[in-house]
Amino acid sequence: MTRKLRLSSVLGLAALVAVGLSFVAPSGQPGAPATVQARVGGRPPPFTLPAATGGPTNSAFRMADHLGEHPVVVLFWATWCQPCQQELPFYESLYQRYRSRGLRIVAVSMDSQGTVMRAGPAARRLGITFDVVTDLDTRVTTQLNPRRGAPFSIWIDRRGRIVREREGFSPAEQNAIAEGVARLVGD
Amino acid sequence: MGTPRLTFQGIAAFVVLGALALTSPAAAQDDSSFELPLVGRTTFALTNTTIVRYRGDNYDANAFDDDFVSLYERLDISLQADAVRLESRIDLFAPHTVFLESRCPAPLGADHPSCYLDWDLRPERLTLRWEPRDWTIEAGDTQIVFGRGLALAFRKVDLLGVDNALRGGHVRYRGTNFRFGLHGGVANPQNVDPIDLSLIREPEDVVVGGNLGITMPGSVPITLQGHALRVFFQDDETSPFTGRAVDVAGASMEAAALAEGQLALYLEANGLRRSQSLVGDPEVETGRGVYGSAQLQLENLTLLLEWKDYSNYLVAPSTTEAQARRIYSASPPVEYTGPQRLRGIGNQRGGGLRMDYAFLPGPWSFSVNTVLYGFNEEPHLDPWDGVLVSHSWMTLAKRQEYGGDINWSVDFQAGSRFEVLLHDLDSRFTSGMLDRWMIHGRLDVTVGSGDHSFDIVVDHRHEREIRGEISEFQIGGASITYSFGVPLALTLSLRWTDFQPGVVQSRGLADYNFLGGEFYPSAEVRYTFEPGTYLGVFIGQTPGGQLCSGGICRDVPTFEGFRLTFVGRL
Repeated sequence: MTRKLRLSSVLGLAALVAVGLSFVAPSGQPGAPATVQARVGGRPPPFTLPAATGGPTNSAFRMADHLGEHPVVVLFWATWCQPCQQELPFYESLYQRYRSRGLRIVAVSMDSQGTVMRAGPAARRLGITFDVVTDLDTRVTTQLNPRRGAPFSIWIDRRGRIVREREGFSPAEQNAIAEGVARLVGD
Repeated sequence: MGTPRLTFQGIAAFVVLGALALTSPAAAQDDSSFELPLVGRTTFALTNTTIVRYRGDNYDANAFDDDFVSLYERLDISLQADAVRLESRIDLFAPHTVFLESRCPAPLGADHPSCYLDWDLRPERLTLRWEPRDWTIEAGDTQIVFGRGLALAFRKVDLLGVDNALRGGHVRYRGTNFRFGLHGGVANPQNVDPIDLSLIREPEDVVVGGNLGITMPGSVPITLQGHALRVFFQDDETSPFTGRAVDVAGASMEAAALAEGQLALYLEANGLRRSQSLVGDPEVETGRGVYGSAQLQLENLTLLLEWKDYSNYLVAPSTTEAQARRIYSASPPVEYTGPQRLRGIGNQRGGGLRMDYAFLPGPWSFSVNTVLYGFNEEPHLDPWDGVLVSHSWMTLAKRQEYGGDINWSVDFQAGSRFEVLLHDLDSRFTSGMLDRWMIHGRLDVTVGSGDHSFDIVVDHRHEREIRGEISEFQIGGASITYSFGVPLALTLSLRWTDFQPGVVQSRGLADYNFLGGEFYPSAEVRYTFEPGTYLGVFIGQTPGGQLCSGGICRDVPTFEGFRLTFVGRL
């Protein structure tokens, strides 16, 4: 390969990275609560998923019953995901605080056939009372969480539009998340 | 590196989407919905993943896949209206040598197996989906699982680097008490292997099948399902068999809420027929795959009992298929899900018992697991005439409790595994002799206060194989992750292994491996610009070895280098 082509490749690579970085606008300082920007973005598909066996609920979760009616938080998790074990109890505390104001939360387990039976009991051990469902063929995960990040959270406002997506979780985020969910519910 | 393999469709798609990406900063702050005729209000969504990777020596026998930089660009695009969705994924892979003009000398040529690194640009996934009421009608790529995956499983398995979809036509109906599905198409695996970065050729395996389910109305729902499928495997030039095909037919029963919701039962049974020709002579084999589970849910106690019976059963070109991406079934393994070395695919019969107890409403819980089954690698021999596998492990955990100044969680796990011969191999290795054993442990502690949190993970296992030449090795690691607020996370990690003595010796010769060939240090920083958009940088080394998921294993190479990952969402 000639030097010219190699240089062109490097410049092209740099351009692609620049294009990707052009998506973002750094906001705030590290440590400051991240503002929830109203990213009026995708509309979630009206999916239906079965309840996890042995979980907090027995009936399937139908997104169509909530879109445009309630603020909804969708949490993608798995029994093998350690940060998920921290995230779910935190959202449970928010669910107890805001469920009377219409907040709905559904945890979508990305467990495969080897561990899917453990999803329901694992959620109950974490003290979860909101819907826990399974997505064994990964169709819903492919649509909403194509990178299959875990944990991965999506916030949907009362108008049925996605306003926030977040991959990962740490306890250091709890204040920012709590403020954001308060705004989501009060919207 | 070879000449770029760029399809016309891939180039056109990338140019259009690149233009969209360039205009995205302006669009990102506005409503990305617009009106389309016939379908109504439609929303555009785009997720960009960029990975720049430098790979040094991976310590395999191939010198032509080392010392190169690569760009992996993925665009996940969707248009979503009320009942109509169009989604696509465009993948670009561009490797580039760093220190030499070419890594493949002319006599070998681009088709040589050692010269597998190549450019690639293609629309990896394309789906048009219409979901009126209880129907789903799709043209393009979709993922399917029949039952628990025993009969058919087209899905993504990150650990093995497998991402299979079925590209064709699909019709599903999901009503209150009745559901069915019809599918027909060609297997479409992700063509760039994310683990070794090789380019995978399309297998051109054809699948046709359907499933039907009925839920009995009443206070205790019971669901009966049946399914059938046929897979036509493309002839492989490395195999003497031609015309290979597999037929599967099976049924399942699920009662998820017996005894006032305290008891859940599941049973699935499948029969398999494998047909092929050897030099014109037809051959037919049969097999079975049976799985059952019973889960008892009391107030704080959960008991799970599982049973498996797999005999000459694998939806793949053969029962010894080495490529995980051409295995289209996923049998529940009833195994410990953590890292361990498995014997691979074979006949298995046995089960496992799991007990979970939660001290609700408190944060503590523990579980005890035990697995016992027979295993035989020969497809025509009984599993209880092979090796007896037993594995027991326990877990003690405390979840996070929020609201105080300091919150913490802990997860501790420990166990042991033994494999005993069930028959005489020869005069030296007789029935009852211990063939392998493993002990393992893992500790995960997280402590957080305000904007600061630490996560410390330590794991280690000691394995010993006794048959033949005794080999003994250690594998483990330790890591600490510091998070500051939402945006910043820093991880320092050290892995260790002496599993592959040749690799350890080679690595020990490099000056930069001053810790020794057994140790693999690394560091990773991740900065989140805003929810959904982040930049991660990894630099260091990770060990190779065997990774297993769902009873299927693959060997992964050592990695030395850096990796820059950027994810952006519109």
